[in-house]
Amino acid sequence: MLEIALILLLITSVAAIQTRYLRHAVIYLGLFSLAIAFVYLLYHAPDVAIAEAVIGSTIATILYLVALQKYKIFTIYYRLQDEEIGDSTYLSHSKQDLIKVLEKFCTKQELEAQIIYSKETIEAIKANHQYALIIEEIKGVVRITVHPENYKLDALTAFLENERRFKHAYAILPVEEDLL
Amino acid sequence: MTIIFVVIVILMLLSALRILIGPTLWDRLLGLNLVTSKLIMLIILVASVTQQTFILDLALGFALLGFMGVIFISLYVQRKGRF
Amino acid sequence: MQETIGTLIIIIGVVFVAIGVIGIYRFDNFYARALVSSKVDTVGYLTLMIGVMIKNGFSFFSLKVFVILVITMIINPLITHSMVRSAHISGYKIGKE
Repeated sequence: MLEIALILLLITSVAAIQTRYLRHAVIYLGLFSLAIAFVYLLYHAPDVAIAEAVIGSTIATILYLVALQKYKIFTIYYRLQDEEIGDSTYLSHSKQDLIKVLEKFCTKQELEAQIIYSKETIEAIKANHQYALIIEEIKGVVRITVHPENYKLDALTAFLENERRFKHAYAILPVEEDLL
Repeated sequence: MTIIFVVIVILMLLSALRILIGPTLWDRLLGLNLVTSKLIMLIILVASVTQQTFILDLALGFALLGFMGVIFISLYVQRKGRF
Repeated sequence: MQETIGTLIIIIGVVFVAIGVIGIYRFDNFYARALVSSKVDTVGYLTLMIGVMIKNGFSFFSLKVFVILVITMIINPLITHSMVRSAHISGYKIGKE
């Protein structure tokens, strides 16, 4: 039992280092803290295990989240035409290169990407949700709708022009500003 | 009794695999919740086999505090980056 | 006699928990997984603790296990509600409304 817990410690620490999203790293560190509390218990030190349970799974998580508030969240809606949304949507390879380019952009600009697949119409998303980008793929052309207050627009345009791996034809729709 | 320990450890590893491969963030949270409950079961069984009452304090601490991390992460995601 | 009944109830609880873990690999989207795993997992948890209480008889040990049982029974559905509410408000939708 002890060896299995030690192997779990190795796997979670490597996963927490190499992941691209910081929120996932916080969850991996929570799993790490659970496993190391169990290791302390098997080494006949239950008092250290109680301290680890209180500190590692509560205070450390909240401290990491308070530190993560400095990162802005960049919400990207990917609008699907007519497919069911399931695990295969998140793992299919046809959309992966587009998503990877956007993740690279977010990592360079110190933003935290959050990608949501949706089936609502663009007007519904505009009315109901906070968004930064809405992506839609119609007949091979990627159409990108940008929020009017998106201050990263110039950086995004420059990045997409310089990126060599990005081979899609794309069009950034003009922003309609409310002149009130 | 040994068989019960082995089965619960295997189930805990399967739940941890869901944390590692889960496509969305919320799948990972679900896996974290499952791993916590399996760990409390293991601690209670260890205390029951060795007949040491003070090990149960550890299980009590996990049951009282293990949910704070999950609830704060879900609130953080729900409110788009601030509490 | 008491020990045998307790071990039997613990085994029933482990079977419930195992069905819950199979459920998180069986389904295709998050809401189905959350529904199956949370309900079955809570039931297995309670059954296992009742088995431990029967095995140890009427003592201080059983009292502590009973306190953990009550806390878990309140908190475990609360966590699942919080997660699923977070997923719904953030915009994870499946199929039509």
